[in-house]
Amino acid sequence: MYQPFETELRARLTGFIEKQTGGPATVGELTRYSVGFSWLTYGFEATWMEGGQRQHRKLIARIGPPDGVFGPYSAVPQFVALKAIEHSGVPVPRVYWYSDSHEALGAPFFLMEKVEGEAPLPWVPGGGSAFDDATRAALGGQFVAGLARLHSFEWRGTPAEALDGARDVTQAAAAQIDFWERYLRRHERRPYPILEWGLLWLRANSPRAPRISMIHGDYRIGNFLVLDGRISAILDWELVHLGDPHQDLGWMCMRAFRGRSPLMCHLIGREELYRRYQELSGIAVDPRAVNFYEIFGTFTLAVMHVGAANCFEGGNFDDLRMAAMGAQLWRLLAQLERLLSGEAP
Amino acid sequence: MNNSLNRLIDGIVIALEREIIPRVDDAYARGQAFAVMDLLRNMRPRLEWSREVTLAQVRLQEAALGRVDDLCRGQIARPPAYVPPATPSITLDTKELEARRDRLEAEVCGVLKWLTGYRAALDPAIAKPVEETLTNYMREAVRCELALTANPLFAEISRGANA
Repeated sequence: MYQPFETELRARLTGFIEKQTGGPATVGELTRYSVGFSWLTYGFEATWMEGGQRQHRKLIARIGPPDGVFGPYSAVPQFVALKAIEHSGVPVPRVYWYSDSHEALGAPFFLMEKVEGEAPLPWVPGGGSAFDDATRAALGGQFVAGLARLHSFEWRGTPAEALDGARDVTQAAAAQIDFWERYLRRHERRPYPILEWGLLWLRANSPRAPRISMIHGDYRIGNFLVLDGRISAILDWELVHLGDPHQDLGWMCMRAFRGRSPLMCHLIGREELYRRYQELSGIAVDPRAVNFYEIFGTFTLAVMHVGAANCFEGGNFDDLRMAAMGAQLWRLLAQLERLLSGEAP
Repeated sequence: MNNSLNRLIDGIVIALEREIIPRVDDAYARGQAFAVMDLLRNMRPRLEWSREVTLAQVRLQEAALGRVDDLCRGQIARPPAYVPPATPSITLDTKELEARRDRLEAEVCGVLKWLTGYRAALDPAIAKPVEETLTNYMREAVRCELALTANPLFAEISRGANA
């Protein structure tokens, strides 16, 4: 199979690892994964010398493509966040190196451990259950526990202090609304009244955060790996920031990640989620704030679809998955319209 | 749809040429893929997005903005008057219709902002039907688009395999 880009990428990765370790390195054949609609994901085996010992690891390279949906990219937030919580009890891959320079691969990237496991997806054929009852109960508990640990993590005094986001509990929602409005304005090629309505509603109904936590930003089914009935890693930290813990709860509860299932992310009922999260994190859950962030999340997911369509339309990013996302924008706008009209989520 | 038809066709041809055909091992399958490229290139100059779909949306917009204008007539606090376009929408070609649709969407957004900003000062007998008119328009516009939108294949796209 002729893959010129992959061949060059292997050589560049080898050079990068040699530079980081100061010795010879090898990089095996690359496998490109189709998961992840933003950062490009490649798996490979690598060897290098460390402390006189030969290291052999399965690694993942995550590369922020020029003109990608969240471009311009920086690898720093993900690297810093994953490094900071490495020993927090949140299951995350170990990160090795990163670069925001275009010198090594032509784009920002970071290298992390390849964690074994399968990623269950939110889209279940026929709208059925994603898991059997026993698996669901086990994973649901682990998923909530991981979020509770993340939100309880004391980020002050760690490198995670440098993450973007709010430090003031009265500004957590406003900072996020501002961020996503800027994103919308950068990408919209035509006005969408439902998104304008959403922005007006969000600004008028912003809650005060109970505390400022590290927020994953995309904590949902599809972004964790399962191995032997256990969550082996929480992935996709590109939207990590500091903010209101209700934001991750609201995101988890969105219709987009459960379809017709009454279970949040196909894993856990809403009341049980609130109860267990509260017990484990010590953070009181305000159902109105979760509802706000569910509407906010639906708004932002719709805005991401606008961004995906625009990245593709611009002509510099030919990933057809972006256009496929853009074609589904109206489904998100329909969900947002129903939520704004006061329908139960 | 949220992408131009020409860009979609170009993108599909590029995906076939760079991402798919080099990875297809079977010669017959590669031949079929080249035929798809050939056909798409020939279809490109002959196709455009449905004019009827855009015209239907513009008619919904015109009806909603006209109704808001009627409701606010004679009121001191009112959004900028809606002036129906001099050229009837039915006479416009697809590109002109799309431009009109976008301009009228901007007007709907303007009325939404006005309503939010002045709601407390408005007579509820005016504000409520204005709000209902706008929400009914948005709901109907979404309904029309969804009727044309196929179920997503995100599971297949993510896995690279049948769901």
